[in-house]
Amino acid sequence: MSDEQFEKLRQELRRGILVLAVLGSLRKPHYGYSLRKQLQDVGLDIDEGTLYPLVRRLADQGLLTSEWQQGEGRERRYYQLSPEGAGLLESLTAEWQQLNNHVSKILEAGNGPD
Amino acid sequence: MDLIDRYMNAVAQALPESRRDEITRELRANILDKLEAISEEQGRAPTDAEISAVLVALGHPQKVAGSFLTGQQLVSPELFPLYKRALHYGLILVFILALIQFGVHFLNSGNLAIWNFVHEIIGKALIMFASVTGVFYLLSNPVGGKPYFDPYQCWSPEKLPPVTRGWQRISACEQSVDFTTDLFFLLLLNYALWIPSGQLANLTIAFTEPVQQWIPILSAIIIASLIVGLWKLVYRYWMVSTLIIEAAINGAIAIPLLLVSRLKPIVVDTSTTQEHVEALRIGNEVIGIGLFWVGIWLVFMAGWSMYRAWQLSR
Repeated sequence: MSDEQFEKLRQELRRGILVLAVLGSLRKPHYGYSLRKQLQDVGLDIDEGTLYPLVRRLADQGLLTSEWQQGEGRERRYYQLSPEGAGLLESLTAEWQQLNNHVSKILEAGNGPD
Repeated sequence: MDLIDRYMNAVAQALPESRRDEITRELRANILDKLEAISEEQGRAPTDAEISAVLVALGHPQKVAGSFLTGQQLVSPELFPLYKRALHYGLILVFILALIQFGVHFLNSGNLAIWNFVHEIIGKALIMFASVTGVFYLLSNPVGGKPYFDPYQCWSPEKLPPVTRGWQRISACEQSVDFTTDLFFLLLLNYALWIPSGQLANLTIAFTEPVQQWIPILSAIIIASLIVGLWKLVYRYWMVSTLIIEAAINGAIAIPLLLVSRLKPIVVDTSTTQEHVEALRIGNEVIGIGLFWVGIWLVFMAGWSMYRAWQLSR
């Protein structure tokens, strides 16, 4: 498999998971840069060109609330999970854990004896 | 700051006015946050080179603007098959309109203006392409995000075509050519019915009397062929019944064509100046030979359809 194919499939795999990671992180309020830093700190390095539009899209869908706040002499837009987003996060988390279990079983079975 | 302003202006230019301020305001805040982090790390204000590197890492302004507008596409993947089909039908329509214009011009002047014909097709095809794409753009990007309608709502597995062999699928191109040809010949044979009387009086070419006697019969068969053609344009697959009807129609058209090809002349110059007599002599030869071989081809196709019907019924 070429690097290009791997990169394409990697991005596809990450796409859905990033939504979950962003929703999970926004249980506490964050502005764009602080959200990116938080994700980076736990090992999820998301390109800014992906993260900021994703946050906007989730806000447009009503899953996040946002508010402009003045801080350290500058304005920042803070995002946080909306009640609708919180409900969705709960369902998605359950789905993710279930999927993770199933896929792990498949992958582990592939490594074991036939 | 100059670099950031220039960047923000470039991004703003690629954004719709309704979202411009909101997105650029937020993007600027994010950029300033990142520069602030660099500043804290270095213990000094970021240099122009560092600002430039931050902006480069963010991406080309148009790409960045585009990433905020995802969901907006010319034609959505779901509607794309329908879009292709609409373009296909549009092209058939364009071809028919251009053929009619070509036919009227030919009947009026006796000149085969091939270049005009090609020019008309290209011009009309571009207008059609733009119009169809415009409609699908609106359908793919509905105001408020809620689709206007779901074109794939009404279907069931039972309604899917009973196609078991590859050749049962009717090629869109082949069917379009057949349909257009039928329509063109129907209009050509019955030009007296649709050409305005003023233009009719100016025509310099006409079918001879013996040929005219065949026109009602040929027209009736072509109308039947057009009706079957419409069915094939919509469903685009062969069944035993449609193959038999196809064979019958091809056979029914072949017989008059073969008989008419023996009649000489087929068209005559009706102008007072008789200026096209020589050209028509050659024209009659060509038309006669052409009709003969088209007739032979149709006989072959009728046989082929019957063979396929037999294959399918086994």
